Amino acid sequence: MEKNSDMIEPVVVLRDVSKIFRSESGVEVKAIEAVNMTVAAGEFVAILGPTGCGKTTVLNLVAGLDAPDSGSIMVRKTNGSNGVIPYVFQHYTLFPWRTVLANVSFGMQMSGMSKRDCKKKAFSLLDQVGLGASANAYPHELSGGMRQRAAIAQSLALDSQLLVMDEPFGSLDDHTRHEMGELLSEIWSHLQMTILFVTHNIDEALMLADRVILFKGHPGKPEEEFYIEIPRPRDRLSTQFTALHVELRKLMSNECA
Amino acid sequence: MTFHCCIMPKNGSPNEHRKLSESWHQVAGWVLVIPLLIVLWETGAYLLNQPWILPRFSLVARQLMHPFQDLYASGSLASNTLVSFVRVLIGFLLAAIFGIPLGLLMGSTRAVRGLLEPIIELLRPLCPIAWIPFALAVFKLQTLPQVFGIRASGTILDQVQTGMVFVLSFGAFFPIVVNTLDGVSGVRRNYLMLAKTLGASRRQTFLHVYLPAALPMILTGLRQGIGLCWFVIIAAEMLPGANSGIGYLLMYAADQSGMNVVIASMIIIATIGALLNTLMVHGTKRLIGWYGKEF
Ligand SMILES: Nc1ncnc2c1ncn2[C@@H]1O[C@H](COP(=O)(O)OP(=O)(O)OP(=O)(O)O)[C@@H](O)[C@H]1O
Ligand SMILES: [Mg+2]
Repeated sequence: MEKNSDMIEPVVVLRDVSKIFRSESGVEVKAIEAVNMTVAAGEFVAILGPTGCGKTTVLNLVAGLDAPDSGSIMVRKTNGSNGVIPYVFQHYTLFPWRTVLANVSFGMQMSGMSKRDCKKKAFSLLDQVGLGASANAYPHELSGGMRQRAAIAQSLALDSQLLVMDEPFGSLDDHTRHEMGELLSEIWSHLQMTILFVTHNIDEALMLADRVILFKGHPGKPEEEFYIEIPRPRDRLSTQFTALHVELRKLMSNECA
Repeated sequence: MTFHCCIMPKNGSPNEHRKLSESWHQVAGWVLVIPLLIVLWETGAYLLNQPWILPRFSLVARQLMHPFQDLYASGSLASNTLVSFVRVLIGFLLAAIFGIPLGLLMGSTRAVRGLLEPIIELLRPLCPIAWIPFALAVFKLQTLPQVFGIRASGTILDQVQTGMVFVLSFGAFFPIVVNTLDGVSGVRRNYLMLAKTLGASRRQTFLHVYLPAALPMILTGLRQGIGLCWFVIIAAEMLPGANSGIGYLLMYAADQSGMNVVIASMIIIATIGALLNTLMVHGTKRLIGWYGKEF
């Protein structure tokens, strides 16, 4: 665990980042404190941790949806996406009043791309995520897995090098979750993207990530870091995988105790 | 063959079965209940034999069959209905033209909302009819073409008084503003975040998120607005100062004890009100098919 991802050009760097929320009744909640972390170009990083430890807070700060109270956040701009960082949520990932095609086109439309080019690219992205046949459906007509496929296509349309995802498969059944994991792995290695992925599912983190950062505590911060050196495609039943799984499970349940 | 009941759910899904019986009830509502009431009315009126209180249905129906017949030298059922309708349409459109943008602005700009909400909440509960004396005092009997310096345009617009349009617009304005405002301020934060992470500017967010997300509420406001206009115009036309419109004809006929014309007018007013509502509901269904089916 001595490897330092700063060595390779970093895409995301957080230095001593803290965030405090003030509730409407005036109570202050320190969500995260003194968070230091780095994500290297092309890396797949999973943030793993129990509920309320500030995972979403970190992603919102990285995506620029929120500003930190102290510390600094650097996100390297990548060509194509003009500073916008696509973000896949768990819920409300698509606009319900737009068809799947129009949803995937949204980002391109905002950047002023011509209608024809939008459509062409959206269709090719939908094919890529296996949703070509549902282009004209509305989100409410899709299954949960199909919606997340559409959401992935929607964020890929921005041509960003970095993608952040907050428990994107959190409400899917195991089978669909595994399918989606495979799809995401494929896209990640094919496009050589950098992905920052939040989950509280150990299995998912171990299947997908190069590195797992374990978040803990209130306020939350990274406690441990694991480089997952199991070769891909990964086998859930391999001894290496199960050993890591047990170790992480122990660390996670310590937190609750 | 009572066994049939037990087998039925197997054939069609319970839902299908429910749909079928629902539509059956609705059909019965039209072909059984309404005709039954008409028969009761006809018999009752025949027995009562006082047509200045309750004319027979057949008499009213005959009146409705001749909508272009001039009545009491005050125009026909059709011409007066048209006058009322044009007044409502103009008043309603003006209310929508001012109400929707203002609601959008108030919903998205906190300062504008803070400044305008008190006066809107204060004036909203006031029945639009209460504005009529004021409108008459300000606009007298001026018609719309006269506002533009035309003494008589020779069109139906010569029957559209500025004061009435003012009152109608005022009435429809509040439900339109308030519903649009609620629609905009009720937009899910998640959609705003999504738009932001996909690179939408402020203007684009307004156009592509606030507006479509608020559309169902905007349409609700418009529906309430036009319904209110149709209420208000009938009352307005019954008051002194009016000399045309279906409300005026109704009142005039009542003075002449022409109860058959009164009831014919009532049927027309109710039917048009129902049609307007149905049109607004079904005409906009396709626009907001997603509403209430979010995930
Ligand atoms: N907008 C907010 N206002 C007030 N407190 C907040 C807000 N957002 C988060 N918090 C608080 O900050 C802490 C961290 O929240 P965060 O959503 O980042 O946790 P999380 O790790 O994503 O949890 P989960 O796994 O349940 O999604 C929590 O204690 C939460 O109550
Ligand atoms: Mg979260």
